[in-house]
Amino acid sequence: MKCRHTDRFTDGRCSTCGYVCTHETIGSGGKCTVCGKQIFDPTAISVDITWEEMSFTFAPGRETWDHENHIQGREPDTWVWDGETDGRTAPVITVTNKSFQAVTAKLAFTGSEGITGQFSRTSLELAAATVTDTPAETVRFRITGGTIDKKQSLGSITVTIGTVSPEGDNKKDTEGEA
Amino acid sequence: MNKTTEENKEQKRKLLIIILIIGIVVCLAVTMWALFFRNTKDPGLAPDYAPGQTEPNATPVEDDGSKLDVPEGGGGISIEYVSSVDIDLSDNKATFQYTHPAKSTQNIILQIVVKDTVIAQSGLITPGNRLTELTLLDGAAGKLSAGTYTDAQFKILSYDPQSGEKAMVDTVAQITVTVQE
Repeated sequence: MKCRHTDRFTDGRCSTCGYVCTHETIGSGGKCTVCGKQIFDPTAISVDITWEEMSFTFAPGRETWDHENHIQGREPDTWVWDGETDGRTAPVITVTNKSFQAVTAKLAFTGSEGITGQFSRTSLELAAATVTDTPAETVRFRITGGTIDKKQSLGSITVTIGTVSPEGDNKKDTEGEA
Repeated sequence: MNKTTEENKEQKRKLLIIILIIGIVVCLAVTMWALFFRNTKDPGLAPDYAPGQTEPNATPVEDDGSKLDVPEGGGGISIEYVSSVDIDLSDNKATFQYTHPAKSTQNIILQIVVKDTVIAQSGLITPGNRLTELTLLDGAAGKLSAGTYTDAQFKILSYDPQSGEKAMVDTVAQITVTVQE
């Protein structure tokens, strides 16, 4: 089978007929240097986002008693990541760019009912991928505050992917006409 | 004298009956509207559990079947899209390129959001499917006018395929929406 669809290839496969380009030499713009077909759509964005277990346990601080001054106190509340392993105490979110253009990733947490969280970084820049390299960045996340008294959703993390203009500025939102 | 009093009472009784009938008609009308005509769709809010109905317009894409390397208890999605979306108000549809590769470990719902308003929403999309078209939600076309919107996003809501529970991580992709009448 010979594919004649030259503009609809993703990951080396034609999205119309399923033909796979077996040539491994891919040049600039995602074109196969042997057959000249467009192996990757250079305008397409392809990003992988993975995350470790996102569950946390809340431990309310214990009541304490200061015997010398006869004052009741309380230890601080703590949040512990349930997936704690190898000494790591916060889950990791990994963003991998597989596009032929640089992308940005911005991270935000919306907590429910007073829950607060923090990222090790809130903004990532990932260079354009090449045939041999797919840039990846990681971010750690932890719950920093708030209390719960039952099993519940703590909120949601939003990873916003944007492109980078040729001038290096992030894509800007501008006014439309709603 | 007595006759006049009787007539007044009769008039008051008739007035009361008329008011009661009007009240009953109003109540019935409100009930009918609430049951049959009120728009109960609220797609702007992400459901906590995935809907049972899969997206009928999603088409399968061939893949080698490999999955993202995700730690136990975690999740991962791969997103592939072209960042331009076209909307034709004459046929009330949005056309675009979005692929939910088989290597993703989550099911998704795809929303198209323009200026913080959800204008189109898919059903559940399982990994290994592509979507190129969505019908605009009721009333969405009336909020758009011909031109280009750069304050627009694909919002990708992730759901665990086993439990159907919403994942803690959602993804948003910035897009440009071009509307034509």
